[in-house]
Amino acid sequence: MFRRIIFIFLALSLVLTGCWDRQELNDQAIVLGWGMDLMEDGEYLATANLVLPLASKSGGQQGGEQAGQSGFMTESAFGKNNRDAEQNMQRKLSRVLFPGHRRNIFIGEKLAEKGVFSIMDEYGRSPMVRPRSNIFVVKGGTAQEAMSLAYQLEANPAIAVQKIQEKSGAPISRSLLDFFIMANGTGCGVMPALSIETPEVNTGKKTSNDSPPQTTLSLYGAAVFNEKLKLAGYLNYDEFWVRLWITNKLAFRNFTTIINAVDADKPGGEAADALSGATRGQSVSINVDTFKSHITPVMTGSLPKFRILLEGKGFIEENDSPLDLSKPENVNKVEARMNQYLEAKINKVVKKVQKEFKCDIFGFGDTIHHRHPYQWKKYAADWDTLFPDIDLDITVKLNLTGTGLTGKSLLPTRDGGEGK
Amino acid sequence: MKINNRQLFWMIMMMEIGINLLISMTATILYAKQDAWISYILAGFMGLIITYVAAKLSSRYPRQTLMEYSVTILGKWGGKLIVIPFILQWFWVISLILRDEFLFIRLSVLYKTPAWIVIGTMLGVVLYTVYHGGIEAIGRVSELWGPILMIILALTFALTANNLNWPMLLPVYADTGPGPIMNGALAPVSLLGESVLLMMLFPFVENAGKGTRKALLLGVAFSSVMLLFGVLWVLMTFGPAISGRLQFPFFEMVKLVYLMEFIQNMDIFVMAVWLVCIFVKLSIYMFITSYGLAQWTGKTGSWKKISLIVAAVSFILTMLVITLNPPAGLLLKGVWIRYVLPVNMIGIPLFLWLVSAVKETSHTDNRR
Repeated sequence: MFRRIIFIFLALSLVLTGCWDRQELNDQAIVLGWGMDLMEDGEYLATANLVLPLASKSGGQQGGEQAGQSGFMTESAFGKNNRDAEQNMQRKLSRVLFPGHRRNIFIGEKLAEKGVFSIMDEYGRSPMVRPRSNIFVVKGGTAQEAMSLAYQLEANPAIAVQKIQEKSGAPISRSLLDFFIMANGTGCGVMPALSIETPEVNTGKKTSNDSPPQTTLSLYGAAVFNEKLKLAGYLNYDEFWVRLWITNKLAFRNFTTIINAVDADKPGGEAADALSGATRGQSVSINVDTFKSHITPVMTGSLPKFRILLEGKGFIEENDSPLDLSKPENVNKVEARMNQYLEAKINKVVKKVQKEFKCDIFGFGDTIHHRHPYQWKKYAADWDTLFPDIDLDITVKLNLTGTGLTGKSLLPTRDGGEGK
Repeated sequence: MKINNRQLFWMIMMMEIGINLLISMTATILYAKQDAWISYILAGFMGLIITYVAAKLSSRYPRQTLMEYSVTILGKWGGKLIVIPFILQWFWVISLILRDEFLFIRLSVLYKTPAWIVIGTMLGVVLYTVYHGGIEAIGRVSELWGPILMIILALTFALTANNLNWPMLLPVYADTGPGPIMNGALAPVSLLGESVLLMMLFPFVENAGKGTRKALLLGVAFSSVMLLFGVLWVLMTFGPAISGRLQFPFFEMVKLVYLMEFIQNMDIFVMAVWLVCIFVKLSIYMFITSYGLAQWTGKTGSWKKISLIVAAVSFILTMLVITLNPPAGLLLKGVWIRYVLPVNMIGIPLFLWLVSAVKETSHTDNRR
């Protein structure tokens, strides 16, 4: 008898347990992106980027815009915070907002300037949400603007920016977690930053099948937050990799510098030429895919100094200069020139961070904390006032392991230098 | 009802790992910060000592449970009185584990399912196992699922390895010092020390003896190594500041699994195995509570009937704990570490061992 009762009980439990939490797919509005903006009157405007179920059925490969129908929809609502706005948004939605797939969070520039402290708690607390998310600042715009833009390559603009970021050599899908970790450390937080770009050259649409470049989302670089979690400034696309390299997070990147006639003769030459953007020489591009950074704090004198050794491994992908790359000494020239260029570039960016943002986004303080914990106690309290005056000795050491598919160029004549 | 040494090893293993991974980590990291792993090593050693004392004591009376040999050692009244803290502890543990299970399930999977269903179904399965199979069924379940648990844990560690960032463990020792590290060790040691319930299991082991002690110690040692890996992984993934604030850092870490786009969301596997751990632990506790109570009241034969009462009482207690909702940290610190660890895990076993040893020497003296 008892056995039978237990059996029935167990059988029922199999059938019944799910009931309360049954949530049919047809009742869910899957949130892919979430945006927050601060309005003039201090209220928050939340924007959700939802998967459009009908479009994904017919959309198939192209997704973006098929027969005038886009693969996503955006909805917005005001509120006091994330959850409040979500509730207000529900008023307009026939399906329950389901944030379990929320991969990207957008922050409008205004909100970032006023500080993100007031809205970021939910991103770590809510159990529905995965910790593996990205967070972006929309430079010079609002989250709503960025999220309502149709991005043609992907079904959804929210997914696009994350992929752009990954394809730029930044770490995958963890900028939110990294921000939390950084904000708790000695440094300040960094988030990737987006911007909305109008096409470089506007070609008109002549027939309905044409596809001229359109206004689109792009990765601007990184937004730097100070220790009060307020926006301190931006690093642009050509600068943000510096931080990634120094903090050992860069996956790959192309570098292009100008090898001018002076360089062709003697290794070295004027780095300033290349930096000023002079085009009188010819350019060389290398593709670096292995990065390594070694930061060594030097604890002499009243202020700590840092020796920073940045290493990279890569190969030459383009050579528009007269250098004959089948000769090893010419590869060395490129290497030396590239090192010099990168050192100057990195120094410039680091100086900019020191002077403009006054914020240790490179984790230099952390290395003192890690290596010299007892001395760190002296500096810990006022590291942000010390940091702008810290001396940095930056060395770049590239190792070029190849010249691509050819040694000599396939082109027979080269103007100038050692063409033949 | 007999279990063998290998089954005992897996039982201890599953019992120690499940709940420890879920709840002890935050408390430890809060105190010991990036040195929490030292705390876990320390806790492992202390756990081994506690286990050794309890096992040594039990092997003096290999055919008796704690309930019986406490009477043998201290006489009828003393023996019956000294085990009361254990009986209280067992009820307490059952309701607390059920509460933690409910909280976790509620937060992670079933958002709307009422509490009584979540804990009722678990209790139902546990009761079924204990009522029909007794300790033997529990032994076999652990033997079957223990290796699976190991495989899933190994996979978890392997798949999250790409998130690790070892400088997060620096600086070693400088930020904390001996006090915080010791303090941090208390939470895991108080859970590892639960191995003292072996004092109830000893007579059920086939040919209990040296091999049993070895299995027990190995079980505790293995689980502390697993926990050590767990805490190292969590620290290197989140850093001390974040992991000290997450409620279930280990499971948050599992959620981060992201490999080649398609290997994602491993947490459901880990959760499934974790539920089996909880099931094993609850069954062991349910069994020893019913059996111990039966022996304590002198009606050993009717322990199955008593198990029904134990289940009912635990159900009510759990519902009570859930409605009152005392903070988990307070329960761990205020009750478990302050009373259960020093009294039930260290005090009483040591005391019984001492008395029994003194008695034996005086006994042999008299004979001489």
